[in-house]
Amino acid sequence: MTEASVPVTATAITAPASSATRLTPTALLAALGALVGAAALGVLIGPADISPLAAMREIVDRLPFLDVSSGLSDQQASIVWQIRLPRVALGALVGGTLAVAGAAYQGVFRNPLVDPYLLGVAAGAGLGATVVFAMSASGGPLLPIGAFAGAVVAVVATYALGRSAGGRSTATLVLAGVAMASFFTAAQSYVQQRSSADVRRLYGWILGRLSTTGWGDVALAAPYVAVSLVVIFLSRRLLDVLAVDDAEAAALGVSPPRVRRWVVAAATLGTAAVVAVSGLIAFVGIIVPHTIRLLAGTSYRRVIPLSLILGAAFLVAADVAARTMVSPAELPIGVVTAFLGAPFFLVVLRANRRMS
Amino acid sequence: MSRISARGVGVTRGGNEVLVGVDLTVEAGEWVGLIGPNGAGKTTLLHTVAGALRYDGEITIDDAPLTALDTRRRARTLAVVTQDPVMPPGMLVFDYVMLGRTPHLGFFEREGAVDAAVVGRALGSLELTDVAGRPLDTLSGGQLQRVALARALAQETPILLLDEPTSALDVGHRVQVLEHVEALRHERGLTVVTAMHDLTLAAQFCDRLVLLSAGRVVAVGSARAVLTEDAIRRHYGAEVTLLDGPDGTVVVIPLRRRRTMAPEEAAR
Repeated sequence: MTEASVPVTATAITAPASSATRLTPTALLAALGALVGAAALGVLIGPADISPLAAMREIVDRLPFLDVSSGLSDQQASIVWQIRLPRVALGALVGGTLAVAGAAYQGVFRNPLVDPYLLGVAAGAGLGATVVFAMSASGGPLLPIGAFAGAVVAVVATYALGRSAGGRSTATLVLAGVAMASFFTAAQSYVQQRSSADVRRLYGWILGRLSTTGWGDVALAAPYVAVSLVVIFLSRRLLDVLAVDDAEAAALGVSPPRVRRWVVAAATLGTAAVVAVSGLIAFVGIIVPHTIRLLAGTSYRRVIPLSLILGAAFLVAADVAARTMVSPAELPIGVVTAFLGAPFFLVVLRANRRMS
Repeated sequence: MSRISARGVGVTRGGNEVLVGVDLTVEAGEWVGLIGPNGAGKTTLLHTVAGALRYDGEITIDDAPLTALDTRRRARTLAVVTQDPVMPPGMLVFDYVMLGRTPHLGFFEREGAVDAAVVGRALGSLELTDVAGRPLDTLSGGQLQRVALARALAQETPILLLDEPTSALDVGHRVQVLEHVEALRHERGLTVVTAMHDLTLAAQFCDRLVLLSAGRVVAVGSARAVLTEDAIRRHYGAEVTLLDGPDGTVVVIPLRRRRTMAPEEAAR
C-alpha cells in the first residue's frame, strides 16, 4: 500500500492488465490434455487381446484422408468401436455431468458439502428408476423419466425439510439430504424386494456401471445432459453472484430464488439422466469441483468448465482402472472412484495447505 | 443525479418499531450523513431506502415510487455497501468487484471489455490494483472495506448508500476513502447517504446530518446545527467538547466522565 500521495480524483486510475475471472488457456489445455490422455487409455487398453498400437491404427484409419491398416479382425475392430469407444464416451458424459451438477448444487446452496448424493437426488433417481424397473422389466426409454421424477421429488423434499428445520444453513441442508437419501434408499429396497424384476440386473445398476453399454445409453442420456449443461454453463456468472448472501445478490439486481430454481432443475435433470444410464456412481460430484477450486480458484466461470472436462477425464480413467485392476473380472466403478478419489483429494488438500 | 424522498416511513421488525414516521429528503448530488447511537435505526433506514425491507409510508427516487423499480433497475440506481458484507473465501478481488457489474448484464450475458475497464478503474481508484488477483480471505479488514466500496463503485449508480464505510480503516485511509467518495460525487453528480459513527468526519464530509434516535429523526441540518453538546449528551449519553473545525465544521472530542486514579494516587 502506498501513501495517499496519489491525487484522489476519480480519474487518477489504472486498470489491471487482464480479467482474473476468465478461464486461462493454460488451465483449459491442461484439462483437455488430461481428458485426451484418459480417453486414449480407455480406447487402447482392455481385457480383449488387442495391442494398443493396433487399436490406435484402427482409430486413425477412420479419420478423414488417413489410410493405415490396423490389422485387426472384424471382431476386434468391433470391440474398439462398439465396446470401448461408447464406454469412453459414456464415462466422459457421466463423469462430466456429475461433476458439473455437483459444482452447481454447491453454488446455489452455498455449501461446499452438497453433491448429487448428499442432497438425496441420486437416491431419489434410484427409487424412480427402480419403480420403472419393477413395472416393466426392461426399463427402456421410461428409465430416465422415472429417474428424473424421483430426483425432482427428492430435491424438493430435501429443500423443504431443510427449510422447515431452520433455513438453508450448511448443516441443516446436508442433514436433510442425508435423511431424505436414507428414506429414498429404504423405499427403493422395499420396491425392489416386492418386485419380481431381475434383481441382479437392478443391483448391478444400483452399484453403478459403465460395463453393459453400447451407443444406446449415450444417445439416451445425451439430450437431457445437453440441456442441463447449457443452462448451468449460462448460469455460471450468476452462481458467482450467489456466493454473496441472498440480500446482497438482490441488491445487485439478481433474484436468488429464480437462479436457484433454474440451476437446481438443470442439475437435477443432468444427474437423473446419467444416473438412469450408469447407476449410482458416487464421489465424482464432490471431489472433482473441490480439486478444481483448490487448484484454480472458486469462480464458477472456471469451476464449471473445468469440472466438465476433468470430471469426464476422472471417470474415464477410473473406468480404465475398474476394467484392468482385476482383469478379466471388473470392479464396480463406484469402488474405484472412491479408491482413487479419496487419496488424490487428500494429496491436493495437503499440497494446497502447504502452499498457503 | 437522483433525489431521494421518504415520507412517514415506518419499519417494524419482530414486532418492534425500528423506524417511526421518518421524513427525509436527499437532494440530487447531496451527501447526507445519518448519525445516532447504536440501535437508532441508521442501518435500517439505509436498507429501507435500498429497497431491502418492507416499510409503511412512501419512498420515492426521482419522484418514482421505490416499489415501482424492479430488482435490476433498483440495482442500477442504488448501490449499497453494508456494514458487514459477505466476502466469499477464495473469491478473487477482481471477481468480487466484477459482481458490481451484475445489474448491467442480462440474465445469461457475460461481462465484456467495458465491464473489465470499469472494474479496473474502481480498483485503481481505491489503490487495490495490486491485490486484484488475490483471494479475499488474504486481505486485511481495511482492504476488504475498500474492496466492498469498489464493488459499489463498479455498479455505477447515481446513488451510493454506505453503512459505516470506513469503520475498519486507519485514519489515513479513512480520510482518503471519504475524499474519493467526495471526488466521485462531484465528478459524477452522485447522491450519497452514509451512516457514520465518526461525528467529526461526518461533520467535515456531509452537506447535512440527520440525527436518529430510537427510530425517529430528532434533528436535521448542518453539522453546526445538529451537533450540539446537549444533543450528543441526550441521545448518545456521552459528554463531549466541541471545537471549531476547519471551514466552519465541528470537531467532536469525547470526554471521560470520571478519571480512574493512577496506581500511586490510589496507594496514597
